[in-house]
Amino acid sequence: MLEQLVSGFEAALTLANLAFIAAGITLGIVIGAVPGLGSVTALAVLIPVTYYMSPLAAIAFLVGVNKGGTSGGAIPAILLNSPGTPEAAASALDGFPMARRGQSQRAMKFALYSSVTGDMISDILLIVLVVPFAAFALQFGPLEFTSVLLFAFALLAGISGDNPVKGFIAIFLGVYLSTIGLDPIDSTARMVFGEVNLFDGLSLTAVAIGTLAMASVVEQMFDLWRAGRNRTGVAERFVENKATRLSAREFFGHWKTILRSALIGSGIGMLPGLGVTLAAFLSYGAARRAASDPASFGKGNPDGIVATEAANSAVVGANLVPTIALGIPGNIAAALLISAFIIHGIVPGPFMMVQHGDLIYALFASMLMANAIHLAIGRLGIPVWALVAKAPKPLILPAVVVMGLVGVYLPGQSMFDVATMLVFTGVGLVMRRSGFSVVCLVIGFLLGGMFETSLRQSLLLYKSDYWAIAESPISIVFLVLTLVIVLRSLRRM
Amino acid sequence: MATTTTDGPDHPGLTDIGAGLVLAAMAGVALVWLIPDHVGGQVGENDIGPAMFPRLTAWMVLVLSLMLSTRAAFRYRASVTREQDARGWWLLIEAFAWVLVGGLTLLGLSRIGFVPTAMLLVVFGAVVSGYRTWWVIAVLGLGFPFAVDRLVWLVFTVDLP
Repeated sequence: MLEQLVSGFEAALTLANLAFIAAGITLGIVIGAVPGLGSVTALAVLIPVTYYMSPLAAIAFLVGVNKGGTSGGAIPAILLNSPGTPEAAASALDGFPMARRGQSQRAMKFALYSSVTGDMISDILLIVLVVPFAAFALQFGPLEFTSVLLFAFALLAGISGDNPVKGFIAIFLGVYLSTIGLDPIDSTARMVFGEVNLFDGLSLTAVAIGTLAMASVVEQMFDLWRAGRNRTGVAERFVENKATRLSAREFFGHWKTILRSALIGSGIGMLPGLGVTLAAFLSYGAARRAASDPASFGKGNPDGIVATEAANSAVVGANLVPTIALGIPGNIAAALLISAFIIHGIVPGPFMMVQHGDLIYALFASMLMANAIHLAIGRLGIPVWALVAKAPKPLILPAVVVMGLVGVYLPGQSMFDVATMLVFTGVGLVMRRSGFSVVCLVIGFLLGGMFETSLRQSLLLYKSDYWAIAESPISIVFLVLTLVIVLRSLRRM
Repeated sequence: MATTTTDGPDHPGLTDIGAGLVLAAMAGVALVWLIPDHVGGQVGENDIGPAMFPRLTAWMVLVLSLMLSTRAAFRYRASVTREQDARGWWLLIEAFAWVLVGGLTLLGLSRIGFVPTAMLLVVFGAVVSGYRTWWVIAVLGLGFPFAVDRLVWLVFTVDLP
């Protein structure tokens, strides 16, 4: 394997390849930083650009876009408390309070370094584990997926605030909203009122941008309006501390969180379908539970940013495990990468390593090099992004609203999606003001379809044979953990 | 995930009682009318109906919302929660204001197009948020929507509404 990797480096270490990786990362960061335009949109838009590239340059470019797009989402989350994507929402929890304290550059450095480190760990795991872990992933059936999702819901509700009941309500509300549209098993229309736009269900982008990004921006605008009315001061502007330095020693002081989060992200990434958001929040919850001062989370604890960014970036590399080994995309970004593979004449699946081994190892080498390039480009960009924090908020916030409208309109070019987003901005605003977790709503909505499918498949598969659970150690572990978390949450009330 | 940042503060007052009751009512409407009347499909002998899952989640929302209201009602202390209840009234005002702004934005996008609507949004947003340097507002209001419109066309070849 080491020999193949060295050959991969020889093939990948060309000026053109490095330039394409750098361009991919830069475009990914810029597009990912716009609310609504995450790495998925960036990939979808930029795939046609790769038609004239060599297969290696094309895939390396797109992997760069994916890496940049995932970490770019943290920028508006930290600076404006308006995460552009659900997976960046956890970064806002501690990133925004740090920005308010004048530490936006430090927060962005924590995010970038964690992102690159998590990504690097994940890439190494991808190279080492691509074959054996693919076999383990195949053991996950509907029952195991149902158990993992129940665990995720319990964990999310438990960490969503002082009142876990509100967290559970938000999650089930999200899951309920995910049932609008065609039934995933037999395609029966549900609550669509004859509206064709609803047949595919509510748009995830519209719901996520509305509740996460736009509602936060509108909430801040209302706060400024009320502050102006009370004459207590307007035009909040963050005053950046001069101490923006973040030493390697200080960063790696968080090594336990980095390692734990990278492993969580990699584990989640290797299982098809679970996705980046779940990894980010499971990791955040794990970091909070492991911390000596869990109360400091949500108030500007860098560990929160480290946990989120290391985990969501670790998904990027690990997602390629099922993609390469089984031909099964781990998430939408991986599905788009598969389409790019196919466009360039490479069919992902069990024979890919045999037929295109040289290309795959060159891709692995490109991914490792991409991390260094990501670090350099991201580091150069931080002072530029920090200017946003210095700009008067009353000017930035309306501009973000406009960008949100564009971000939601672009993918489907649908006014229905824009209307959905505007409605969910109102829903998000009311939820935020009344103490409900909008993050729980979005994650319930995001995972609702998968939860329904796996639960229904389990019920159909095992009928009333409840002992089937006893035959699945993975399910037992996750169900016991779910029960423990629910009981602990209820005791906390 | 502390509630004081992204998710807002926890208000064990009238807001919780009201929110719980509204959600319970919504879940009730879903269970009594929405799901029975707007979820089609027959249940096969070996199948689980398409209404099962929405019904299950609606029941969960109903039960949990009633729990929330009941808990808040038992813990309600008028003197402690007066300030929070005032925030509840603000919530209603803000929600109404957003319905108005959101509705007008949608109307503007479909009637007069993206650039003029975005111009109005930027100017209105800046003024409402308390910014008063008029020339900056004018430059941003006129230039930003136009620049975004052109950029979207150049990069994505998409015509905004």
